[in-house]
Amino acid sequence: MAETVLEFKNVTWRYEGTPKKGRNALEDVSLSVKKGEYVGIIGANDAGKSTLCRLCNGLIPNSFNGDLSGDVFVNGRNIKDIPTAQLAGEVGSVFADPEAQLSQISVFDELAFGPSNLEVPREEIIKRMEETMDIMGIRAFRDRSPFSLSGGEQQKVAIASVMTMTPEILVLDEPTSNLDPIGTESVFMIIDELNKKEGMTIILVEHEIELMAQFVDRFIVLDEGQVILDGTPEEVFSHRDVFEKIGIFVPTVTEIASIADKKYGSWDGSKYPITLNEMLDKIDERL
Amino acid sequence: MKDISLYIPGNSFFHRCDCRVKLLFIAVYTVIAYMFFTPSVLAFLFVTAMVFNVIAIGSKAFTHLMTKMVVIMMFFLIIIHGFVNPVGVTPATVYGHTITLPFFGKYTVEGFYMGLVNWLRLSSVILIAELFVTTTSPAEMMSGFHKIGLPYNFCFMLSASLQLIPISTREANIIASAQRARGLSEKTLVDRFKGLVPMFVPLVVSSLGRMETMSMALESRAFGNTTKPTELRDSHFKKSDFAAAALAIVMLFAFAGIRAVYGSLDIVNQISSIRDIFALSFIGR
Repeated sequence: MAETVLEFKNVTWRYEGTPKKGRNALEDVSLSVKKGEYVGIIGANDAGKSTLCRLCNGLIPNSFNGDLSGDVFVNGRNIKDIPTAQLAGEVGSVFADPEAQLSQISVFDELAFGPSNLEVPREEIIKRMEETMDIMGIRAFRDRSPFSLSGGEQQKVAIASVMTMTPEILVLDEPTSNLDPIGTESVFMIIDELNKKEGMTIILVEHEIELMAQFVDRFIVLDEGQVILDGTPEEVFSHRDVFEKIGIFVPTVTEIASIADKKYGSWDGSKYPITLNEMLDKIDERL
Repeated sequence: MKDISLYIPGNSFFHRCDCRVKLLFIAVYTVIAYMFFTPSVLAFLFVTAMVFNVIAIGSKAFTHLMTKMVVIMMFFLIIIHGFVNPVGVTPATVYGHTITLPFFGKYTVEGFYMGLVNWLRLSSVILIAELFVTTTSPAEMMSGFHKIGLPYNFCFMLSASLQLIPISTREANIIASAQRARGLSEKTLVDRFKGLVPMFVPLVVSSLGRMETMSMALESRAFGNTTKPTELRDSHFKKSDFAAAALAIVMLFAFAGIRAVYGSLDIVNQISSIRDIFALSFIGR
């Protein structure tokens, strides 16, 4: 059994300035993430997904004002006891707007920014940068300004700039929401590679449910600050009624399978497919 | 996106030179330029600065923005001083004629002298600064500023704002296009100024949003953890850096010696024609 790297224990968070009648951003959330797991977090807008991300890397409660109850543990240590900067080396964060995350003059400096702030020795930084540039395929941009790159390339640089700090956990808050389909797919490929090859724990918040379904090990569905579903993609998407209620679409393939099941009653109780390939396999099986 | 820095990539001696040495040159040139009041020494500074620039960036030295500025300054300083400088009493003769402007009076020899000296002073300093900005990449510049003792946060702020200028410009253009698409009138100058108001609010709001993400991203990259981040670029002086720094210091002491013995070489009281200025300062009689 892999060890637990991230644990939420009855976490409730309320942003300062929330109106009296307003609800808490997170309400009694408990979950634990194991080393090497690839977790997808989905939910409607305002469900508390970003808040969850900010808690993972200590931005809450260190940089946001509000009331926190419960505890968040990263590698067994409470985030309240670790300085934000130190946590940055353990939990890497990537945000939605690629441009706003980049601040340096060249891609080279961008990659070095995190580790040099952590006072990592120079040779070590160079070594990490070389490795990261190969993994991410951004070597060609080494000396260019990050602002001259396309959105997808910028997001890769943003992820790479976090990678050079060698975090164990990577938290991505809608990393593809500003990207075109090609950029989105390449970012997904890279995240998958980091998970499978580098064994990194991934927490991914996204709207691209169909793409996520192909990659993630586990889905957590949030609604109004609470975890309402938690499990493998098959388990989660079998609760179609819940998805309908909170207003999120399940993958089209699953939708088709369930409609076919209702209409022809022909699915004999087996689980609905999640990805197109699974569906094709099922069809092959039948024919 | 257009690069806003004045840096011209290359591999000349000055490109490889440590950024602190180039800053030392700026300091030395500025001090020498203000120690003397004679066209000869200042022309020497001017010519050497120009030669350095040509060595560094070749023919681009003549078409660079800052060189153009020097040329424009030449016209303004020399002409304006000639007419308005209060030191001027002796009218200058150009091919036997004096030039007179209504309200300003005659073009004077002393005024020309003042204009020439001040132009040479300013332009030597500008040209040596041009050498610095064209041969130092912004990243090196920031690490150089940090090395000579400016605080890390300040250097970061400087480089981050440099990055933000093109982004804000683009954002402003997007907003302006959106306003135009909804019928913003730009026929008269007054209209244009009025149009700035509805542009200002969305620009500020979007910048604030960007700042929030940026501050989170910076924090997630451990910014603020230390005031002495790991220096990535080699910060050791090379032999050539020592040689260049020595040259600068020798120049400083040599000219300081000349100044101590001969004074500032001001000849404004000895001249009576433009020819005198060149004869006295370059030939010596």
